[in-house]
Amino acid sequence: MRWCRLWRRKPGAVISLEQTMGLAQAWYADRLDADWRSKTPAEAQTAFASLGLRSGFWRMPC
Amino acid sequence: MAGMHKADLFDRKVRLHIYRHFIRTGRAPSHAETARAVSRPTREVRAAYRRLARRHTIVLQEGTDEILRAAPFWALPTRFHVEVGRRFYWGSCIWDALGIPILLGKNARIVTGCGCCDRAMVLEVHNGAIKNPHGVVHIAVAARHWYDNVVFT
Repeated sequence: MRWCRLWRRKPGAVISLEQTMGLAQAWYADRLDADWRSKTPAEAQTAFASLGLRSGFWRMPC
Repeated sequence: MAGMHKADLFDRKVRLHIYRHFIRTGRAPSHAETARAVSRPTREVRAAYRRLARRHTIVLQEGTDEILRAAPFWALPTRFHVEVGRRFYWGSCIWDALGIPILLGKNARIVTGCGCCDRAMVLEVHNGAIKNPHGVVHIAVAARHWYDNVVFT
């Protein structure tokens, strides 16, 4: 992949547009709620897993 | 609200103003604009911005207390141009660009380019779904390193 060669980086993760839309839904649907708070690492992990993103790449720092 | 610290309540008010301003204008509010909107001194607003940044609720421009990101909105031009009706916004990545119509509850047209071959790409979001979901998304940085350097991420 050209970008990876340019930045000398490993490819990382490749996901579908539908999965990316799922991430957008999970992260932003409630962002205008007055009592919104950011996801805990455990909540983020659950959201990733629900979209099939279960590899170590998606592990959040504790 | 009971039991909430006074600073938390203020930060909540400031956060909501930041989003309302982004939605209305497509850009981040300055300290002075937010201070006027919440009827508090600029120094209090700067302190609120810094607290919000420590919690990763917003990202500040390096060396300043001005806003770079209130996800999914990005304050500076990027290659993720999001058109919503007659307004437009910038996202920092495709995840955030798709998040803008989700946050707004509106349809959108996202104009971007392929990260590999640089060809122009247009995505249409209609009723919360992508009309033409062809292509894949490359996420380069592992989740545990996203906030090491959020601009690179």
